[in-house]
Amino acid sequence: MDSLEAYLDHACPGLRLNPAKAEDIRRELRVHLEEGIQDAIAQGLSRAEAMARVLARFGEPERIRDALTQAHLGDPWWAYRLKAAAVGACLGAAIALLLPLAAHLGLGAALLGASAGDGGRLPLVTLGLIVGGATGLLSAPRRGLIVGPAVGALVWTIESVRVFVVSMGQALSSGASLQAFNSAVLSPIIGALFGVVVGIAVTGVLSFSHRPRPVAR
Amino acid sequence: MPIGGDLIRGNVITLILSLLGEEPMYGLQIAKEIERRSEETFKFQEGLLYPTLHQLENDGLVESEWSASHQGPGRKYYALTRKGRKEAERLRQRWSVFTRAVNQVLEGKSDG
Repeated sequence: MDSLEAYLDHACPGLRLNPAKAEDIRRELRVHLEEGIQDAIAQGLSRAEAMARVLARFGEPERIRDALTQAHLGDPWWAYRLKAAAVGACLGAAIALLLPLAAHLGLGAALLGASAGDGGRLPLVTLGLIVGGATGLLSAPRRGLIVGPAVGALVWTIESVRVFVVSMGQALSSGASLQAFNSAVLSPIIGALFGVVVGIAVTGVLSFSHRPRPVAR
Repeated sequence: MPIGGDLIRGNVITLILSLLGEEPMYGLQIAKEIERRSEETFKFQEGLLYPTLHQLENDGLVESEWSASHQGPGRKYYALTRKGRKEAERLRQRWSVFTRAVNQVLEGKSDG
């Protein structure tokens, strides 16, 4: 198995390629080689003999890599990164926007205190956009789907903590009621939990949509 | 007599598109079919099928899909698109014209 993976290391295009595409190519080549090896073993060869025969038939790995790289010149890594950045930015901003909106729609009365009237939503969305985009740009393919929503939830949590500190300051200075205190304490907790749930849901939906589908034959 | 190199490389697209015109196939299946039908005349590096298949996909002539499998990791099947069917037919006609012309030259025939 090790020499098969070492062969694939040489035959598969590297960093120049969209990482999701590179992974797909590697999987396709591995399936071909493994099936060829199993066929040869069924004919009575040892695994080492089978692998040697199959790899010889498959060809020089460097030549295959160069040809694959050439075939995918129109699908470069930076195009993928830009796409990941756009997805990360959209998810980060959407969650940063939706959490206060959900609070306004009555999904959590305690959230109202953290989002209403403090003028923090626009900076919140902008921050979600920038940080979500940046993490999407830098992240690996599957991680990008998790990082975008997670950043949205993180941004909201940070904003909630800021509001909590402000509310506590106001409550202490004005001698406010226990209800106002509870509202300030619950806001960041509910905000963070809601963000995590939405993040998991979005990631789950995106992961499901990337599953291989059966082919019609 | 095994034939490889430029001769097969120049015609491998015709072979692949013709095979896929019959049914969706995966890479190893295509390689085996070419070898079997040519009675092992065509020998080529199987790994070089994939850059060709991917280029055909980028050109919109074929489309691919992973099959679900209960036993293994699944296979990636390639099928012709509508554009690919037209191209396969065009390449077949071109090949017929080419082989007829070559035969005529080799056999010393001339219409004129």
